[in-house]
Amino acid sequence: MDTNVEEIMKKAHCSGVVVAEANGLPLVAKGTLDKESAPLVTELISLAKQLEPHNKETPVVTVQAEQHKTMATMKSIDLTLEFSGGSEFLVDGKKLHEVKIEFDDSKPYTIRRLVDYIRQILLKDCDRPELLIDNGTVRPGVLVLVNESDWELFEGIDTELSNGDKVTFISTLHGG
Amino acid sequence: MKPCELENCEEKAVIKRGKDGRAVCKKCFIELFEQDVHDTIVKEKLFTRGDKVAIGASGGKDSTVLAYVVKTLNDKYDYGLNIFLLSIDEGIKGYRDDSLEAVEKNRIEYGLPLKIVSYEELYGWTMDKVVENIGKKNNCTYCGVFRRKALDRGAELIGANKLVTGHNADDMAETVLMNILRGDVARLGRCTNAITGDENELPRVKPLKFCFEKDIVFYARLQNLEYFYTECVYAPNSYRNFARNYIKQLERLQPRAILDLVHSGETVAIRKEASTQIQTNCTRCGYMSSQPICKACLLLEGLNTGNYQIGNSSKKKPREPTETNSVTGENPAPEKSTSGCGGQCACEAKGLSGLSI
Repeated sequence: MDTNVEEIMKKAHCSGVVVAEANGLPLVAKGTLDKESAPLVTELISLAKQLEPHNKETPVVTVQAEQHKTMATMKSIDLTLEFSGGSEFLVDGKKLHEVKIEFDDSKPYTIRRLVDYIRQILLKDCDRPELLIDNGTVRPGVLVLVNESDWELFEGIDTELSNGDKVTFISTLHGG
Repeated sequence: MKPCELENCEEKAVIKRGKDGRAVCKKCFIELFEQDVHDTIVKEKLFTRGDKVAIGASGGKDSTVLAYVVKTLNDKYDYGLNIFLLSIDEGIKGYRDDSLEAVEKNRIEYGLPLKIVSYEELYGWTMDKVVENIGKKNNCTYCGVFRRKALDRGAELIGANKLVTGHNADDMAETVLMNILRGDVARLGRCTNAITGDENELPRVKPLKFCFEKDIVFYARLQNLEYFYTECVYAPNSYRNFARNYIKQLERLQPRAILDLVHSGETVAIRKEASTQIQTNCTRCGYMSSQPICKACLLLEGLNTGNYQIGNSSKKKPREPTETNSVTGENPAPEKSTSGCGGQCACEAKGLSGLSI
């Protein structure tokens, strides 16, 4: 992340950078911006999003002052999630979920991070989330496919995801 | 992108096979899977030309894949089999009635005749009624014991000479582990056989015995086979679940663990004195039994008289430490297990059940 920030700092006219998590916790601050501005900036983006709730694009907020302007944006990834073999019953009974996930891009977005998102958001109201996600990983007995290929061909839980990827979870734990 | 590991294939690999860890493409995966089942059928001499076989069909993943593959191989290698689908209706609303719809689809798609026998017509009881009476505590025992006998009766009605079930390698590994945990030596000795069934019982064959659950599920997905999945609405079989979870965790660390356990079950030598179990016929229904009255008849008597203890005594005598005669090395015969499902639950009668979670 530090190298990323350095590169942005090198750009012409850039005097400060602050990086925060989606819920406002500061990660890095450089130049004229300090960490205390992180929650405020994050809040601004969230508010801006509410202006057009149906617009899936992440807003870029620009604050224009006399001497300078401040820009704020967030990284996001669009994924198609498929739940099958009984795991769909754990996520509102819906097989396909199109999601847009905002994340801090200081490190690559992996299935491990997706699993965290699923647990916090999609399994929020599930009374038995451990049937899908247990101990921070996908429960053994649930098969995972990335774009229709077995995740074991890649890096398993550490497989990196890209925009537009499809991730499939097939439970073998539900009997027939 | 990883290429398929097989020689002369340049397609993109889509799966790392559970069974041997090879990364293969869709076409090679399907071929290897079918070849494995064919090899089991040939090596273990599961079928003879002219056999009339009843495939235990629950609509679940294993039996759906089983029916599809056995039919495909029968056409491809000309086994000369006469194939039927056999389903058991336990009478569980919202569970079995849905899954029977899935079997009905198989019947139409695969063009195989289907026979459904219900607990109600065989025993005069549906599982819903059983649970209404006895509660959710021991109901899996009833269901398992009834199913085993119902499969036999159903196959008899069809005139089949073999019963084919969808037990896979994962199921076998679970059963080996459970039999060890329970000290059920007699079952341990035979649970991994590809052909089981005693003299008076229809032979049961398990063509998927060496197929990993992962590969079965992948096969169904790649072939677009639809199957039914849900949990049984009644209490889960927690003992089996424990074994199941344990094995799934082992598999993640070391996929071989499943075949290793099956191998242990196959090669463990049971001393004769420990495994002898005298089979006779039930004096009431004629079904094979190790007791004068078979377990199904005892459970039914309990249901019909309201004395639910019959056939279901939950008090198992504590096992005496086995004394080995130091001179001959022989053991006194151990007492026979009579409690709980005694292994007659889904473990043996699967193929129509659910190993529900």
